[in-house]
Amino acid sequence: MHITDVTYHSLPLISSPKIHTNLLWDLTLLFLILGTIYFVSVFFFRNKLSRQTRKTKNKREELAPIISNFLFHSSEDPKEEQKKYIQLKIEIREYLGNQRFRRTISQILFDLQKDVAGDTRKRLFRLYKELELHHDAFQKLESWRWETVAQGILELSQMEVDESYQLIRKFVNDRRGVIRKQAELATVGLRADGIDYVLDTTKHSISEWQQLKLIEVLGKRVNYRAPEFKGWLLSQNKDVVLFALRLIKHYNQNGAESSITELVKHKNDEIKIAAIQCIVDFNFQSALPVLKSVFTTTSNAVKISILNAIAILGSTIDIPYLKEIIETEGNFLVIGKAQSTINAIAPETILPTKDIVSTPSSKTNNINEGAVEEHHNVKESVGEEIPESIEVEDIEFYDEIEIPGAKSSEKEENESDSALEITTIPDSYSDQMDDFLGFVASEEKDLGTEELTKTYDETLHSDKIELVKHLGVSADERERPLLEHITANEKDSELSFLAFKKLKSLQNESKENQSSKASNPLGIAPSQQSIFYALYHHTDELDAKLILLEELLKIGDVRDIPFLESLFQEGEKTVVKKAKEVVVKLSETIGSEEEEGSPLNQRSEDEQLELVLVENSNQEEKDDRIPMELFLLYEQLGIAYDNEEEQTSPFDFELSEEFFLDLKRDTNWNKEVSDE
Amino acid sequence: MSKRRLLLAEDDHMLASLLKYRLEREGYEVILEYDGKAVKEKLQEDIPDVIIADIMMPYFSGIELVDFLRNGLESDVPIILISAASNDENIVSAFEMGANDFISKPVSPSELLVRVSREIKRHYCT
Repeated sequence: MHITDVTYHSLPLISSPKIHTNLLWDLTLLFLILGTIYFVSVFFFRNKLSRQTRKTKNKREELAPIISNFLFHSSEDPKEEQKKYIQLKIEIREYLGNQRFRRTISQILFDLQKDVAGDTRKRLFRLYKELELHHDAFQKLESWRWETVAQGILELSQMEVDESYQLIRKFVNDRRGVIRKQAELATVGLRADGIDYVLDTTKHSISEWQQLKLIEVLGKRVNYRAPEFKGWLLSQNKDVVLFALRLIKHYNQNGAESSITELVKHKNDEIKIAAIQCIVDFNFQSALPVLKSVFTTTSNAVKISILNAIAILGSTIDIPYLKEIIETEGNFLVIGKAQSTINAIAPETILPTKDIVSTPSSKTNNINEGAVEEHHNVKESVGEEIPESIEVEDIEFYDEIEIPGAKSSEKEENESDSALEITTIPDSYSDQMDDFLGFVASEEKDLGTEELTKTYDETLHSDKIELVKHLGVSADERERPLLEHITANEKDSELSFLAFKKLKSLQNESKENQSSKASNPLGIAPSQQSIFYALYHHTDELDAKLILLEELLKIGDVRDIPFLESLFQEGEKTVVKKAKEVVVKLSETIGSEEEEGSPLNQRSEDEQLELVLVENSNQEEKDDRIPMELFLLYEQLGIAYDNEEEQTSPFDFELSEEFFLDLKRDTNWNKEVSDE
Repeated sequence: MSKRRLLLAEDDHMLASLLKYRLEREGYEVILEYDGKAVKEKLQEDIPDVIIADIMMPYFSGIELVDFLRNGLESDVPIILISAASNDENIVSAFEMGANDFISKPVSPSELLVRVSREIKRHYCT
């Protein structure tokens, strides 16, 4: 294939299409003409605009002294000035026929009113009306273009044309947002009662920015007496309610306490938050119960607002409620806010715990940690719950406790951290620790009630908090007088509450102890109260244990169930299975007996005790049985056995190995004895 | 008694014209300039009795003008500044530079007159 063929061969989408050259020329010409028209028109309109601007500027400069003359003219001026003024008035009347001139002069006056104040401004507004320029603005209101209408409204309101009020207020509910907003501002600006009209009639939303602008317009009014805005709290338009709340706050109208408090129950969150803000600003303490009542049913944003309000309006009485929120609330933001609210009411009540790293091991810290550990141990052994505390979760105790005299040894301790871990706390430190924490651990250090309460009263508040918290964990009967003292006399309600709670738990504890002592005077564990307990643990053989459990089913009662349940922890699966079976069957048996009203259940405790004793004596009788070899010996020797009358077999069928081994050897001896 | 000469530096033609008219009616001789550069040139030629200047002006701000007068020309002529920007920093720096008084827009011509006459009294009649 020749190279020329490749070059001139037309390939689809690669080779250029065959276009007639004349068409290309035509297109070039067309675009040149269009370009020229475009550039000429740009040049023309640009020049026209520049010329117009220049003309307007010249006209403005020309009109500036005339306007100044009009503005500052006075009847007391000299005659020459009066003549000049009249001549200017005639001239300007002629000019006013020209629409462009009217536009220019109206623009000049509109611009000037922004820069002048006082009497000059009033004169300017008067001049605007005298020249009847406001009629042009009225015409603008009839335009179909929204920007022209908005401009007309703005001009009339800025030039304070009072007659335009009726015309402008119609636009308050205009479908076009810009016109509507401009009309609202103008209505409020033109007359004092304009705000009433806007709030009464507006159907559309009022944006926050618009609200601020309206308040600004109201603020510019001289000697303005604001109406009672609480009337609009009943509006169906939520934005009107919000705006009314804002106005109430702005004008400090605190006479709407009930209405504002009621709005906290509104279904709209924005209104709720605005109402809460009002409550805070006006310090409506009476609204606190309502705030608390709606708390659970509101959104998180409202909850946070409510907590903010409680932080400002609340007192220590509200702390238990806040603690309840911390415990029940799921949202961490709300929990955090509740904690900060507690701190706002009672500063430093809750300390930061999240991501707090422990300081390098120092003796004091270790002692403190040890003390805390001790508390935990006490808690576990007693099995009581830590009283409701604000730092329930993630509490780590890293507060340093200064121990007098411990500093000298601190250096040594720091030198060997490993040694520190196993170092026991010297008695002197331990006692100081106990003193600090309010422990009365040893009998020697058992303080009198008066001394305790006196020491407590003299303690710093921060130490009191620490002490009461520790008492809440580890107090016992000995601290009861101190707890009573704290409950009765402590001013800090939180501490008083904690002490009261502990006191109550102590009372409950003592009641429980009394009842348990009555039912179990020897203090034996329930599982050990079964008669089978000793028997079961006497043997190591599995079969014997199973037989025992079988026997238990026949004669067992309620007291054996704890023993059986304790066997569930046994490693031997067969025993566990058997124990479970026995428990089920025994429970059924007991249940049926109870239903039948068995005399066993109807017996008094004494009778039941007697029964147990009888059973035990039977058991003892069983144990009194003599071995078989001894029985045979007795028989051979002709000695009578005491329990022959007994129905039950007195022998023990268990034979010792020695008996069978010696049986042959003793045959002769046996024969001799029989012969004799 | 010769008229007191005031230099009015204001870039807004309408307002400048209005204030000029008002001040002239009160018997002052007013020299009107519309930008900072022209004001500077004028001041190099002759220093008036009172200067009224807008802070925001083309080429040369009111504060620079105060600095130029106090440090460049070493003149203690009373200066009243006008500004629409009620910016504390502007006002403070103007007074630090040596401005005598400050008036914010919108300007009340009557108020301006009172301030001008007070400055004249304070500076020339004591």
